[in-house]
Amino acid sequence: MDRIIFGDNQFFGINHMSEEKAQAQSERFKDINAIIKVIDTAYDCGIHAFMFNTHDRVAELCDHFRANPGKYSDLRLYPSMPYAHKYANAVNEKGMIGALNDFVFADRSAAQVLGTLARGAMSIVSQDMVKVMKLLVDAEMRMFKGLNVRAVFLQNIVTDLLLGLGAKTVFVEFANHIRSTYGVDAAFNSMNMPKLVNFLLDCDIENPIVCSSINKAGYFMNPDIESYEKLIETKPFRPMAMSILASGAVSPREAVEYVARQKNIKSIVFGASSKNHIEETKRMIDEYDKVA
Amino acid sequence: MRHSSNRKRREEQRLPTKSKRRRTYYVYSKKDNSCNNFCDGNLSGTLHVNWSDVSYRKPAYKFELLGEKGKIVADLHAFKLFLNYGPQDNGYSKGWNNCYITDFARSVRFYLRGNEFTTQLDYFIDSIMGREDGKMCTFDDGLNADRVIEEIIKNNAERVN
Repeated sequence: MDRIIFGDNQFFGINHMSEEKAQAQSERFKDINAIIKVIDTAYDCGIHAFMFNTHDRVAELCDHFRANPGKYSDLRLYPSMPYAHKYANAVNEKGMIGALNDFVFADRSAAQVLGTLARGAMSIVSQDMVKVMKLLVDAEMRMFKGLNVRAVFLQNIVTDLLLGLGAKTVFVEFANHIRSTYGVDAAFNSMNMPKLVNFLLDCDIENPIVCSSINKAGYFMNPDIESYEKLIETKPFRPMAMSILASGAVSPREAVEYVARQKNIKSIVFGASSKNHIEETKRMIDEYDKVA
Repeated sequence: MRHSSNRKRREEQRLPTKSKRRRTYYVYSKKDNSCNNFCDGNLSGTLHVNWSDVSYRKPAYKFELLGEKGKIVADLHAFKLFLNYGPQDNGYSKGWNNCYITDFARSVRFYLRGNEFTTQLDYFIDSIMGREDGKMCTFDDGLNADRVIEEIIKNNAERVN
């Protein structure tokens, strides 16, 4: 597990602080070279681990990494999938049933599937879903071929939806598939860390990697910050902290200090667009880790 | 079109719907894109609903309300209030008064792509159980939102035909 992982939200017009900033970033990073420049800044500053969503632009980045093996010889990637907006757009184009037909039920019509459900043959549908899940994972992983992948994350919308449904089989099958096909651990993004960790442990997924918002402001921490702190202190899992700045509600120093003093937190994911911010955050994490 | 009406319903749930009856007038609409002018007494405006514009990362919404004494701008990230005058007693001041999502967002027992869904569900349950007064968004408000949606769909159908 890398201590510092560089995130990619800023490259895709995602900003939890302001719509205008998100728009400006989206314009700036339209050019793939602008993204590469920021990645190189992080890499040169000693951050060699990156979390990437399976966005189409990331496929372009991966081509760039493969074309320059010498430059990125120590690159370590943490893909996060699926890039949900790809599927959301499909729903917009074709409707929920159309998208389900395309992505989940392949050549069977939704009516047939509903008929199967009505007959109570849940297991058939579940088996189909697991098969389709593996196909989707493999399709999303294709862009990372030949690169050094350290863990594969299930994106939080999907994780939390499956968690809400209590879909144990899918979690277990996902973890098994990632381990057997890619030789690394499955990992999970979630906005409900306490619920998810307990659930994964119940599924016998040992020492799971879970990435969630962890910040001093308690922002995006559900059900509450206290549950997170207790969980991190007591449960056998590998916590990864993201959104440590709480969209600007916490100062960088306080943000790093809060995360660094929780010794069980294995990794910190952060994103930034400027050289100063990248270097400053990296330096602060290193400083606090040295003291610890 | 069924899915698109559901999406519009979701969009509309975020509207201020205190007025008893709102008339909407067709300006432009095509499939998932709808733009309507409306007026109700002294209130008038334009409502633009679109679920297919790929330049936006959805959900995205923005309201701008312009009044005699100032302006309110609300989006996913912040509520901003601009006052033309300096009120004496409510903590706001002349000019921009900004309140960011991190100042007022509350955690929920289960988060699924936004805390709004659980918040709304819990508020409904709490209102039934008598722990809340149920006045934050009433059935009247819901009905008004449905009427606006109905008019959007009607306008859309007229345009398509």
